[in-house]
Amino acid sequence: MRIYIFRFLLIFICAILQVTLISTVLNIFDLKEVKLDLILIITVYFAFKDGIMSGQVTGFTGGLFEDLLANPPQFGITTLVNTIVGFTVGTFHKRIYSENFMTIFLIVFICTIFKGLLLKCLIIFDSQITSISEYLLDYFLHSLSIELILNSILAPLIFNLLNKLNLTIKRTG
Amino acid sequence: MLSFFLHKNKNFLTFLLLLSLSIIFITTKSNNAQKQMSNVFITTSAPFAWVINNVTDSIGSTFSDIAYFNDKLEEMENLKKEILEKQELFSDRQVLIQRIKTLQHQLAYVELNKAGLLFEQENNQTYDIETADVIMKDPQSSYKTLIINKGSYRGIKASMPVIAIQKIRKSNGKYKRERIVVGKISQTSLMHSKIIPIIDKDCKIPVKLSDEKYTGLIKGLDSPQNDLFMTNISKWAKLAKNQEVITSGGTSIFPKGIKVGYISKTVIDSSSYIKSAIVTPYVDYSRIETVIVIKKELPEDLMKLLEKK
Repeated sequence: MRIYIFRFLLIFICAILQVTLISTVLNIFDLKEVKLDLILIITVYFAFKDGIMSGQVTGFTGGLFEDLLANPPQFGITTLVNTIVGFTVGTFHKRIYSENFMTIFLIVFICTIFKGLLLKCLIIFDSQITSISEYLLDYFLHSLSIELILNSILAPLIFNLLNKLNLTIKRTG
Repeated sequence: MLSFFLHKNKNFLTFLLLLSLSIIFITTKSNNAQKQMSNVFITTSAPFAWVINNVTDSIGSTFSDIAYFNDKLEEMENLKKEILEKQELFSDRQVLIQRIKTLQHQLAYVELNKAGLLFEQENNQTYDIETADVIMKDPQSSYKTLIINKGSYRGIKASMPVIAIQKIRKSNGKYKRERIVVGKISQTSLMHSKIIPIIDKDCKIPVKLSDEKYTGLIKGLDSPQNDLFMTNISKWAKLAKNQEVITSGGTSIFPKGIKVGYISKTVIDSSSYIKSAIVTPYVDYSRIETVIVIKKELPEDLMKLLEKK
């Protein structure tokens, strides 16, 4: 029970950090569209460590917190996307060795692309954008490319930190 | 069966449930509900966000303060350098001003000499003068060492008289600028000359009392008070304290009428045919900066006679 409470608090604090501190820092460098996706990283972490259930619940909770704090135009999109990512990554639990720097780098890299494209596709579906390719290219060049580098490089460090916090569920037998 | 099915597919069923909820959130256009939820969440997270914002603000302001102070420090260093440069310029300027004043004085002496007002002309003779700065004086040896910055290249020779214009205190207590005897040139080099001061025992000058016709000879006493000893005064001369003593001119190297000093004490010897006196010189060697060398030479044969003596 204690672990679940700590996890909940961790997701809550990461959501606040993501929306307040990190976006402020990135704004200083004139990177308004870019975000360091802490929620995505911890979703991938718990999905890898504890499986599908952990991953999808973490994704859903984190996405919901993000939507509530950031108040996007389409409420619930981030929740949906993070849940899908958590479920998908959770299926690779115990099938891929997740302690390697390169593995973590690649998986977070792929997840960031997947999440970014899925998010934009859902936005395009619900909006009246005429030139989809231009919109996606612009998104890739100005935001996604920097997000990919940020998330992929910082993910191993965050994984290391979370390992030390020891918030995974230890299953016996 | 149902419970088995549910247990086996709990992950997928949970996924479907969460997915449905997300889709409901997206499709529901009820802004009020969403806003209320958002407000509740923001209110709950407000203290955490406040702490994080304040911490980052204080860290950020600390860094910006450090940067600001560094800029100010740099500015201060630049200002210090500027002030030092200006101080140097100012001190250079002061030195220049002083030099200009000295040169103006020297020029004034030259003009006075041209006009025949510097000293009394004897037999309508005019003498050239050379003004010079005292560049070295040694107070520890009672100013026995006086070096000026003009030498033989300017026509200065040994035994030439040296005078100065200084403020002296008269008997009535008032100060007046007068020509006073400083000494004689003892040695010359190309660019410099050495002066033997009047207070030196080897410097002997024929003098007379200013208000009487009686002459005498004055020489240094080598005393700590830098007094002079006037001797060979006629016993008929009336000596009094504060009586002025001036150069006698004539065959002396010094032109006539240049002030030497005043009698401070008379020395009476009833058995002697001559009188003597202690004379306090007017010249203040500690204040001398500019001197006038009178380019007057004794005739050669007289010089030789004096040398032989």
